[in-house]
Amino acid sequence: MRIKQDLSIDFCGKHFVNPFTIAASPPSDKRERVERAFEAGWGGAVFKTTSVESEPVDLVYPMMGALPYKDRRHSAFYNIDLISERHIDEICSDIRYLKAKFPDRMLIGSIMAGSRAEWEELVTKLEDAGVDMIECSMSCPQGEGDGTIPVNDPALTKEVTGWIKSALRKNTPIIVKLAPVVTDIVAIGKAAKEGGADALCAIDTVRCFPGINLDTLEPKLSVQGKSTFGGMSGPAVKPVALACIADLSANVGLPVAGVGGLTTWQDAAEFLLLGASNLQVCTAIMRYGFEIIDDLKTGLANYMAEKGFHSLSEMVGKCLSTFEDHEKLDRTIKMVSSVNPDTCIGCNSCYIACRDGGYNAINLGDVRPWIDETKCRGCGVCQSVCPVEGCMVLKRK
Amino acid sequence: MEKKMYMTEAQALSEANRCLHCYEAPCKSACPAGVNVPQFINRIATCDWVGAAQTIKESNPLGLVCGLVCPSAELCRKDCNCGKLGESIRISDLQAYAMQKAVERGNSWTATADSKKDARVAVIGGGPSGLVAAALLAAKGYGVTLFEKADHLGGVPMDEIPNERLDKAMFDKEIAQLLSGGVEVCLNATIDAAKAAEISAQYDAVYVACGLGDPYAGFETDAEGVMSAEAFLRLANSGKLTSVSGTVFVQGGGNTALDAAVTAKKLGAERSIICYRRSQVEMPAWEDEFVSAVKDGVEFLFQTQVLGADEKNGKVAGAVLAPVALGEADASGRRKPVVQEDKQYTVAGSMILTATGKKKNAELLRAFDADKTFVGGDAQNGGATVVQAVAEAKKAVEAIDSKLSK
Repeated sequence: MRIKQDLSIDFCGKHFVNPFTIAASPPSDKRERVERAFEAGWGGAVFKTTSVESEPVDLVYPMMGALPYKDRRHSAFYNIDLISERHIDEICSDIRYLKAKFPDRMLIGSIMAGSRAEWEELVTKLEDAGVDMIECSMSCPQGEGDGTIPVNDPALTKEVTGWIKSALRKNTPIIVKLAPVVTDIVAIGKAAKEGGADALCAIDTVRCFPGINLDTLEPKLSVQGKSTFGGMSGPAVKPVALACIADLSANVGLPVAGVGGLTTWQDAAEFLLLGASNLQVCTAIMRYGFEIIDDLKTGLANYMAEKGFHSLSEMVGKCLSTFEDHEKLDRTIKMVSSVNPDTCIGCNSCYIACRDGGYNAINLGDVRPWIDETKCRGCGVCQSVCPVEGCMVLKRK
Repeated sequence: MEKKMYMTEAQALSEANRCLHCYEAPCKSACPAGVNVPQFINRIATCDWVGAAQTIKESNPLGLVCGLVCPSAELCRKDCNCGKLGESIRISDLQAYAMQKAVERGNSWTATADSKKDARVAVIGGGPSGLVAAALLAAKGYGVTLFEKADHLGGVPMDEIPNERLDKAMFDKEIAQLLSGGVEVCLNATIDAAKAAEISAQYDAVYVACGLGDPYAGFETDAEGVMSAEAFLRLANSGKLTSVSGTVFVQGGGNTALDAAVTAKKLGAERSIICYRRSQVEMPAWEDEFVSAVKDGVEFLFQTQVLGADEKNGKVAGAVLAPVALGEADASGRRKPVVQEDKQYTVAGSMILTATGKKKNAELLRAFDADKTFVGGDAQNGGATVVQAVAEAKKAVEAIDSKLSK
């Protein structure tokens, strides 16, 4: 099926045929996987984070699980994975092969190191192999606490970014990947910029714990009865990702690669509108396969046609202007809730929510609940719990 | 609860989100047209209506009609993996939902040729198979002329499927969109041997999708009130017959018999009775249709043959029926019916409809130049589903394209 819209976009001066890029993760951890992904139509790939040859990478199993919510089995994934078992030499060999076979697709090497010398070695080797961009992993929640993973430290972020920048010989763009669970992500983003970063990537996984199996009293991801903190990914983290992407896009002044729960073309559109100009995916690939790229591209292209966007760059950051400080949001126009009599099914979920968590403005009726507009403040809890799309709408008082 | 023609958006989203998106999905391989079911369902789930319709029409240009009339339970739903967890996905309902949104917007068919070819193809028959072949050939750039005997297009689904089962207004729109790529349509075109020879000479290839011929008469009679089920359905669907009274007998056990029996009931018959010579287990009608007919109040006399009409003053006053014993199974696995005429009896009634199949149009098929003629649809398969007709049209178009490209 030919897609008529132009989905290409530039990111740090690199021309992507489309913004959809495999995130640094298991899906990008085999040459033949990236090959198949490119054949299916993905625009780029960030190899799973690699390290120097001597770095021990001792993986543990099981290493991932899904977080269900009621009957939805995959509201999120989580993992206690580490970086790739494949070291820099193997990655560089893949880069040479793939760049020759798919010259128009972007290859990004993701690296993590324990000393300045190691960072420099990794950068040099990647550049020699002809990599298009370098992503620096400073944000993995499973990292050691010895100071060399600068997750929450602006000064360390700036310093390490500086080392990497100095080591460049070909001016390859550097992306610094950030974690969401930090005190001030903008401060870290600015520090990375000062250190020489060309772009930021947000977000890495969200630090989480999956829970306890109540029968066995073991952790839900049990390695012989024990577990540790994991990194959450997938649909449930998307709002966290959007907040970070928007914050960084508005306040740091660097291009942003967006990642975190991107599953559908609507997600892609929202990431773009809030400032991302590169889109990375992992969890959705694990759930649906690389073939999902067809639906992502078609959906986004149909949306562009419908809304009149001629290029994706027109969309990048378009909705950042809708952000406002809390105290400046308008309080003068009063809104009240309303019930659509044609679609209301009479479940009274709104009544319960308003009674126990709203303004006691909803009363039970013979057929359906009704809203006391003198008490209703338009807080929104009723429409949040209503199971019928579009039934409860806020309108001006 | 009354079954509505289309799902609501809420139902469609809820159902689409149940789909597991299986790899090498059994639904996709079961579809005669090869529709990429998991892909269009995922696009419904993500509200990409345009994309969902694009996926469907890529494989089935008559996606809307098939969504409404396909025996989904026997095809795509049969091996649905969700069926192992609970209910199989309502695939044809989802397809109908996605397509009606697209047909309504006017963009259900957009394939236009990059360049025109010199070769011309004649399509005989404006039913599903002919329509799809004409549209696909025009999309490849061929000059196409479609010949149709009636004064309108749509064939058997348009004429004989009850109006309640198929949204005919949308079917008309779907047809118009299919032919918008530049197909020349000749209505009221009855083709005899001379005309066939003329067409064979003037066109580089011919696709014959003329369907079947006249229905078989169950028995000989001139009595008023006896007709084929197909003739009855045509009268009812076109609004020429608006009410029926008394008891209506329908001879046959297939989907046409059921359609006629249900229609008779809805037009006011006090009783509508299917007489089938074998047992319920051997009825060829689809199970969903049978259950629906039972709910509509149709009665069933199994192992019963209609021998003839009991006439009074040239009109049907009743049906002469006989019980049927079932002997050994034949090659098809169905038991041989043995009519016990000595035990015949008469039941009062006002109408007898026969639904025992249609003859082949052998003469018409022979009239074309065999070297350049391809056949598909009911004319080829003896009377099957719309989606089968679509699959045969696609195959024929590839064969014609291959032949004319040499």
